[in-house]
Amino acid sequence: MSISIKQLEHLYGNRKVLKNIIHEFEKGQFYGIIGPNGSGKTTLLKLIANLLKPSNETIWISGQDVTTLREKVRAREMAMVPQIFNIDLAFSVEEIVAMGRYPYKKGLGDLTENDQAVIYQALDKTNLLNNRLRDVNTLSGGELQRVILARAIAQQTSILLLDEPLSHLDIHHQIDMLNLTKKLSKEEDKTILCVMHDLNLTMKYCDQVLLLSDGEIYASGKTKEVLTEENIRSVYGINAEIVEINGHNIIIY
Amino acid sequence: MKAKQDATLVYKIMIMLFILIAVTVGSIMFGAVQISITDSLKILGSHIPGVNQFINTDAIKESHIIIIMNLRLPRIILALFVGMGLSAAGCVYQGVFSNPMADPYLIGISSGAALGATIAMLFPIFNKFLAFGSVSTMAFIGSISVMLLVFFIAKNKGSLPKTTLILAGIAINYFISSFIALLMMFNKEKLENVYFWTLGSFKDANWLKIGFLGVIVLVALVIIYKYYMELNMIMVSEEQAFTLGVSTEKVKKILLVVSSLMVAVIVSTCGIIGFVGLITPHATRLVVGPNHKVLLPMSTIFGGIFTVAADTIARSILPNAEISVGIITALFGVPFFLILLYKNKNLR
Repeated sequence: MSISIKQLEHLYGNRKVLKNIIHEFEKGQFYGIIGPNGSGKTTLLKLIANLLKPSNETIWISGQDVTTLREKVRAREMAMVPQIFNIDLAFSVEEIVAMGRYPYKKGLGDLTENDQAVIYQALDKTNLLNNRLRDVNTLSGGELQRVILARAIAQQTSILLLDEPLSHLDIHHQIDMLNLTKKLSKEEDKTILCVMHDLNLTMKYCDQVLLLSDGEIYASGKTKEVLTEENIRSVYGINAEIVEINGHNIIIY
Repeated sequence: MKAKQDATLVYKIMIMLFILIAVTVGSIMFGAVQISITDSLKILGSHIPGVNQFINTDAIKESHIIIIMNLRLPRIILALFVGMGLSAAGCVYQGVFSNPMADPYLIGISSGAALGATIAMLFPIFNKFLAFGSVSTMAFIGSISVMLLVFFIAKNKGSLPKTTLILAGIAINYFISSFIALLMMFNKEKLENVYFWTLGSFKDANWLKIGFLGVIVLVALVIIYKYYMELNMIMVSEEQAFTLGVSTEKVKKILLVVSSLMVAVIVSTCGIIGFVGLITPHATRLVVGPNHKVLLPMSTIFGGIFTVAADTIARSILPNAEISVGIITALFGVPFFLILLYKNKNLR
């Protein structure tokens, strides 16, 4: 198991925003985490990333309790791509991607040749080689998101967490991002956990889905089995119809 | 390519160091008494072991030797360390708070020092402590107390949230300013003393102070530079730095405590010299970019150059008086900085 979650709950003040979460995430699978606003998607991701503190022995990463991992060890196990944001500093693309090598640094050491090679591969995979000397504060939102993904790739982790990576991206950049991510799960056997909003993109790209409602797992499993008309109706409160066109399931609202 | 980058960095630092030495040595001949460059250099040289046997200072007036060795040189070297320290602390504060408006006095260290100094001037009950006098001692106690108070208020389950730190610091700044104003109202005869202390000055420099302050600044600089990578990452985003494996809380604490202690020592030694810690990191960032690997050393050296130059102007521009160095740093620094901002706007 790549990530296992046992009896996880989380409180904001007195309010339980997550309760009774039990799930096993398998290696090499692309998981979509979906659910209405406030259902606890981002909270779950932040708990796994340790940005919020989970209780002891509730989240296990490659067999280790995540709360006992040292920061650098954790960063060698999993990387995170946050929601889109601005960098208002004139760091170059390459400098930002190089930050992904931090978990492997010892002391004051400069980048090794191996680091340099990993950075170039990450830039290559995300199609950024030509832009590697550009300042990140001159990039568009879609390009910046790719830089952040390249940084996560440079971390060489087996787990990749993405928190609504598609918000504010146009459809071209959304598909671009999903294709890249999908490739990482298939070719490099990475476990991907991605908070998604668009149900049709979820249907098309995710192997498995975790559907949250009111802080609990409402349904989980193979995407087609979770994204059903009944589930969408009872969790989102909308009447949807699922039709098959050219072998693809399309959700019509 | 990496080796080439490192070479350019070394090259840049060499140039800056050369300018630093040139400004430092050049500033020795200026002052109320004009001493020629050859005489100045001879006097300096005669105090360097190994070189001194080749230099004959017989023709130079004894008073000039005293002026240079006991008055000007200590002052210049003190200004150098203070400028370097304030500028490095400014880099740290702007990085840790990811805020270009942050300066070393943000969390109340300076007002704590001002309060301590004011009390010492109004109630001279404290005996001399080393070579620093009661004003410096009380200023140091004041600044450290305020620093601890701000950290204590902001601390939340072992983390130091930035916004709370800034707000607590600003609130305490206001509180102490009012309190000092109140003290002043009842002691109007001391108003001038306190006011000029807060503007900052290097005129009481001596070798003991330099030794003490110099060691603290150099140690702090070494510790700060060890964290240049973490500073880059925290400046981009503290949350992301954490997911990239930085022990953000630990690093923040080390950087803030080390640079705050250094600033406390600086402020209690020579008053609140404003502007250097805010503007020199900024100006340097506009030229060399935000990477602290380059930014920290360049800005540190530039802070030294800027402060030595400002103090030279402060003590030599008027024939019979000297201006507080805090006035000069702002009066000459602001136009320079605005020009830089303006030019940079056109570049983008």
